[in-house]
Amino acid sequence: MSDLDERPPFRGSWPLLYAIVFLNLVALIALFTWFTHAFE
Amino acid sequence: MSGLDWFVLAATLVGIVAYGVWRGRGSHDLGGYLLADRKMRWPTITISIMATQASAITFLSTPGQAYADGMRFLQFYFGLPLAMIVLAATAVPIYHRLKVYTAYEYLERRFDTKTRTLAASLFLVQRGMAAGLTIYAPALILSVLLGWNLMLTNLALGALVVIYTASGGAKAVGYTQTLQMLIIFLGFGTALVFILNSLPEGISLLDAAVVAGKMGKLNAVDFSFDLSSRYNFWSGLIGGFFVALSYFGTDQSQVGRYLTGRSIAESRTGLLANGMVKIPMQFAILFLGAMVFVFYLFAAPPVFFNPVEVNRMHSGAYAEEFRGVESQFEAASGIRQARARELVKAHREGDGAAEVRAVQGLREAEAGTKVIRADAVALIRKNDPAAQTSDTNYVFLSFVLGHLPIGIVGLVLAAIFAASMSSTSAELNALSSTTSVDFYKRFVERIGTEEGAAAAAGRREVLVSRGATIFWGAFAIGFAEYASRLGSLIEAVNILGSLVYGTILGIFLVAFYLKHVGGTAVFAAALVAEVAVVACFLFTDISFLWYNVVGCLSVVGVSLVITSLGKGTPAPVKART
Repeated sequence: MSDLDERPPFRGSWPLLYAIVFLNLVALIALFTWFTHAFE
Repeated sequence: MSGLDWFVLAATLVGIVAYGVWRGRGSHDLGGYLLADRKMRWPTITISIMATQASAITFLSTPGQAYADGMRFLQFYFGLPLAMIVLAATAVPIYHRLKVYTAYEYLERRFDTKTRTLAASLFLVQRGMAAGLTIYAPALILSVLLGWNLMLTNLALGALVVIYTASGGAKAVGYTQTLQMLIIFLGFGTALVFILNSLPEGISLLDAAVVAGKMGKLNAVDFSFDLSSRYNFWSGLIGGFFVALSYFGTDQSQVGRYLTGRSIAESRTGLLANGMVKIPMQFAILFLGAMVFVFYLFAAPPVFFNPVEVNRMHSGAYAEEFRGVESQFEAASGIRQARARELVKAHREGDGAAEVRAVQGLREAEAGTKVIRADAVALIRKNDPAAQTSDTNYVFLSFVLGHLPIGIVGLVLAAIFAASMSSTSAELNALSSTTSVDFYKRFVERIGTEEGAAAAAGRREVLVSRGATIFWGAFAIGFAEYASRLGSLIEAVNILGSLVYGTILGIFLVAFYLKHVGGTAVFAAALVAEVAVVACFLFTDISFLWYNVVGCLSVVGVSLVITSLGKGTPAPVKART
């Protein structure tokens, strides 16, 4: 069985899951950048 | 501390040890003892990974760091999610397919014995010392609270962890970590609620955030590029990426957690979930520290947060001078409090000019208190040149003991102990794995061919692993004695790790991605890289996060050069494990 045949424990694919983790990071950095400037 | 606090603390400690011994029973071979029979699901793996990284040092030192330096430490974790993606895609399938017990086993299959042994040795030295710091942090709390002998306190706390870790191995570690994280979230969530409720009447959460922000305590992101700046966006994203790649990809205390997964998918998902929740969790801890800072703007803090040193000053040769400094500090804190109220008032009224003046006034008042505090620290040093003059680690503890209600104090202390035990147990389990698999099994063990020899060997291996757990527990307790001479604990651990992480990461990156580089080339490159990293530490003021980059790139670059000169041994070695 190849790595991609072994599906994530829930729906979706590995590339999708990697993208979600990456986008979550981008969103957090954007949020904390706003937070820093909002209270600077 | 009240009787109820003691009951909560003692019940938690006894409960954790008993639960660990109970859940860890029934491991009769190395697979069961070191890898929990590879049966863990991803939520347990995520919690285990988080609990291993978040030690008591995290919960004691991080709020103090936010109090003193603001929230910029958050950026240290920006590279972590990217590292989780890389490791989930590359390292996890390799480790699972080879069915290794430790990350260093893979290095022998890919290179040779000496490279495996070098990496395993670097890990044992660094992680053995780090385990000492993990025990030391909560031991410090008890010694400060009760005036206990620090050595005996280290011994008692270390022994509790050794009992269930030696008894139940990875199963005990994994299951107790779930319970410990529950206690940690409960304890610190409650503390945050109480801190916000402890702000003076009329000061809202938004007011507190405005004041903290104007005082530079909410500086979560800083995009300026400066190699000597310890924490900024770039050092966090790039340096933090290398730290996380090395820590989660090559440090057995973490690799051992996701090797317990029942499949590649479970291990991968465990890592990725950690990549999503780690930064928000660190934000919450740092924010808690920033709120403690605001709390002390409105309620005069002690001039120095370590009560042991303050008591020594009160009974020492400079008692009168010190009391004078304390009086000055109290007066200056009163002025600072008035300035803080002016700022809140101006902000609420939307009076921009008044707000600018109030911020200026508050910053001047804060600078005034810092000057007086520096005088107090100078007196402490004059009284005893060997005294601890860094009180960052005592800020949060001081708040908890002085301002939280009965019962909650015990709960927060239980959470701190749970955090310490969760990290220490994983570290001891990893040190035991590396000792028994990469040294005992590799160099000492001889298995006969007679009937039952394999089963006997399995039992003997578990026995050796238990012995190794006890040995490393004793080593960590011994090293904890030296921890009191270090400054901010969490930074000490990170600096220590950064001295070797880059080199180890470089070895693994070459192993994973540069198939034409052989064992001798990477071994020589690792030695060169370690010299380069130590030189950076001793002779430059480059921030320690960059040591990981220097070490890693040195291994990759030098091994490529050696290989191109034809001096590396090209073929991977197939070897016993």
